[in-house]
Amino acid sequence: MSPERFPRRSPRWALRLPRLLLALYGLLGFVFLYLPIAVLIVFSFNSSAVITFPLQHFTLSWYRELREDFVLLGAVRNSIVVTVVTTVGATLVGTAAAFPLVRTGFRMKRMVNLFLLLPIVIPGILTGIALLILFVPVLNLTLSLNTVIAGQIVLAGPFVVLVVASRLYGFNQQLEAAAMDLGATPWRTFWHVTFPLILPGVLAGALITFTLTFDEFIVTFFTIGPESTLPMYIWSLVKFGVTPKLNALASIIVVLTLGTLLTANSLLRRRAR
Amino acid sequence: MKDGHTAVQSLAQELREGQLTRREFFRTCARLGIGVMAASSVLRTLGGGTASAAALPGPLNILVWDDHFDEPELKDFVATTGVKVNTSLFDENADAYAKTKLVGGRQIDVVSGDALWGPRYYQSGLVDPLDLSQFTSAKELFPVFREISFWKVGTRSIMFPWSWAPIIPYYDPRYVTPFDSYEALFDPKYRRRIVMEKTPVDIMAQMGLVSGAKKPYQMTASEVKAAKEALIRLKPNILTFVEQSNQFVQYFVNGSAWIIANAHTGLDYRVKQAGGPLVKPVYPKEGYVGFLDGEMVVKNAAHRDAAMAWLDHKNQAKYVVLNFQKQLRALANEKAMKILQQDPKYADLVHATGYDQPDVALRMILKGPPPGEGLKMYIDAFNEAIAR
Amino acid sequence: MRAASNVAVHISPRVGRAIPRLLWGLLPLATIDVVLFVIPMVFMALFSFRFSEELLGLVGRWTVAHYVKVFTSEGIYLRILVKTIVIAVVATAACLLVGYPFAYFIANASRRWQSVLLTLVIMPFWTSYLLRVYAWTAILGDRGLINEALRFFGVTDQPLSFLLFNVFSEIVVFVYLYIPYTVLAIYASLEKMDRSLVLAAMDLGATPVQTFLRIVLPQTLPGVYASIVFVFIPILGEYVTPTLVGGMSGVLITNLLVNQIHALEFGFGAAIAFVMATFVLMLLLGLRRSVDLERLYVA
Repeated sequence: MSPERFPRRSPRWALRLPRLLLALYGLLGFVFLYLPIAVLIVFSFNSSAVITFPLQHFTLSWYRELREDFVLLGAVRNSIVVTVVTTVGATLVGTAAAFPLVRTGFRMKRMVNLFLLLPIVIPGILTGIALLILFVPVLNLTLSLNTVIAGQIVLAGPFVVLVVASRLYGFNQQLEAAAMDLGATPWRTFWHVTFPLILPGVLAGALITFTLTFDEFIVTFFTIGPESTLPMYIWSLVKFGVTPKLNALASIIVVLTLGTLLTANSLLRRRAR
Repeated sequence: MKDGHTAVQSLAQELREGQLTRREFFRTCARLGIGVMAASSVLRTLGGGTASAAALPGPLNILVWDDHFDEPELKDFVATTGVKVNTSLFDENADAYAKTKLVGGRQIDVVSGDALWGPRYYQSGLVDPLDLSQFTSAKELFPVFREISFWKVGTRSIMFPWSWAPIIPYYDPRYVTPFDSYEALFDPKYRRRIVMEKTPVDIMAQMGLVSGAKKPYQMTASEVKAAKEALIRLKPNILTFVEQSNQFVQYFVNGSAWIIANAHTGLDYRVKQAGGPLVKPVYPKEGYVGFLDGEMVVKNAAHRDAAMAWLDHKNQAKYVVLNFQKQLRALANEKAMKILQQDPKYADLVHATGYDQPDVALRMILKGPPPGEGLKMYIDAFNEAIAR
Repeated sequence: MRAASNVAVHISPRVGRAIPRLLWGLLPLATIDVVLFVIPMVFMALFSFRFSEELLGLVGRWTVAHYVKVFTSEGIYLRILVKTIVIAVVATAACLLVGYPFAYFIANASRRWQSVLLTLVIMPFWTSYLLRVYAWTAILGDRGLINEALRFFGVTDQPLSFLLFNVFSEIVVFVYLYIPYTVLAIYASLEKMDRSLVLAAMDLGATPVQTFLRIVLPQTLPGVYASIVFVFIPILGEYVTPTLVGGMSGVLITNLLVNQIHALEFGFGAAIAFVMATFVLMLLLGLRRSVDLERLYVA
């Protein structure tokens, strides 16, 4: 919806002004989102052990400390495993559930809708304890990363349903009908028409799952076996404190994800051209 | 992680010199990514390799506070015994207690806890008392810590003692006139200037001391009510509760806190180290609370032998010394204290943290869950006070 | 891949009449939710009606004491619950007000920039939540970024201490934490909006405000609704933000609940959570009634 396409009654500057204001607003928005992260990164290079101004000397010692922390490295690995598996699982079941919720009418649909949202409504500490009671005394399972993943899928499922469903609302089903009329099999129709159209919703759902799971602490604590995940590691530094070592870790994560995402982006763009 | 590390260094260097182009930036990011991936795969093979050489049945599962172990002893333990150690970290006593109760020895071999939580674990049948004389490193303990009455079950001890510290107020003398009683905290001139660690039971116990309770962890209903009134009275002066005592340092350094009402000893040193003011400790005349913690072996622990070997290993003076240097609070190991006293860098700190006065540990009012319905009463009162 | 094939089944010409095959898609998630959520919650419900001497013991007598306590206890639990809901409403409204133009900005950017901008919106999420909240204390505090800047430019000589440790800072941090959800959800609906309608409206002489209210906003309501769910509900369960930046005035219901859980009062904790969940469900039902999504999309 570029302004150029609007009726050309006003002078040029009048069309540019809203656009400029919008861009300025967007810029401010990003400043808001990135200010804390900038602060975090700055303090990862600051020699003081506390996160407060004024800054002291430049140092890399917090990065050096990271290298020696085996518990932390193990936790990072566990976090990645849990997050990836949860993301795939929750995205699949969530997407599957979104279709009937949007496309079919059935009795009790409103209740089912609310029911699927329930896991978001109950505070995590309670869900965690409830799951632990189910897993150990009731089902006699051995706690492990698998039980963590099971719990995380419950937490993330509703988010995927919501995102995919909001994409499906208003989806033009005539496109599918047209494909079928032209003789496409249901599978072909799904892969070539439906799937590409809902893909942004599915990806958004996956991203949200990834994000939520990567940072989830309390349900993980109760459902995990003798391992630790990254948020657990960060949370447990309670008695004697967060060090800028964690800022260093966060900075590396920022640089890594930003790098990966932007590189992937530019690669995709190049291929598209 | 070597790759990742040098990549970070060069990234920082280039950023400083302002000669980083976008392409170089991405290239460095990519190098970092490869470094992290390589490191994690190396770790995975390392972990697998050592576990196969196990002499004792493992792996050892410990549910532990982060300040109860350090990397070197973990590495050495894996190297000498071949037992892999799974560390699971926690913060609240109650969380660890609930998890131990539900999971038991099948997946937790060793659990950390605070003084009076020990008897609670034992009475619930969750832990086995330890015969401390079986441990070589227990001989290095101060004698008083081998004989702690509330941990005694016959000749055995519920916990292997680890560390302790009084929990006392500290103040910034630039703004606060010296005081020796909790009453000073209520002065209106300290409005929004007091910071406290959010430990509901211990805060209630401190308020009990203020309002004259005899046994702050075993208050009667009316004493709890008086303590609650005291907390309500104190509220306008409290800037915030913090989850982590490290934030104490932050708030002293940046001047937002004038008084910290419940800090572990050694805070003055840590504030100074972080470039802050010379804050002063107060040992209030009403008395003060403190923590004394340790490790317990879970009943029917699946890897009991490894658990015993681990406790003996981690409590050796050489590792305790390292722990003191990092955490700066008193421990139970006497031999480590003597080593530290020889070190001019740490001799003063040994004294400042009370490490050389173990009897103080037993004079403190030790933290733990109030018995029976007491815990519920304390928390109800605390909630009512902060929600008002 | 079973779930995906379930998705595909619905367009099969052999769709049965009695039960649409599409409904099978609900099965995996519904099963997971029943086994891993409903059943555990039934246990918690039992605990909330049991008075047991022993921790997590199911033996004991039946009681409604925990629920009575939620509604009595000097009224604190109800009052804080209402306060929590009010704060969550304010924060959600702020997220929408701030986030909608932001999403509009992204949807208006050129195609190749859109994906970059979206990536940049999501990125902050991947840094530890806890550390990001901490960072705000270094921004809003007495010697924080803002106060230092104000002092540097000579605007103030005393730090503004009302920036941190109150309901204000709590809401700022909530907006910061949850606005990416709002932006993503609204962007998704803006992006698939039928733009020819906007042009048609403008051609017919509608003012930009009219166009927005009559054409754009109704089409993006599902996104608005989704973002309300994403923002409002999680804020009700927030524990860390009030603890770290809320000070003494920012205590929320989950803080009280967590204190009870740490006193091993699982039954009472569950009772608080169930009362809260009931409140939330009633609110959501009301919201569904007023924004009847289905009717909007029948056509």
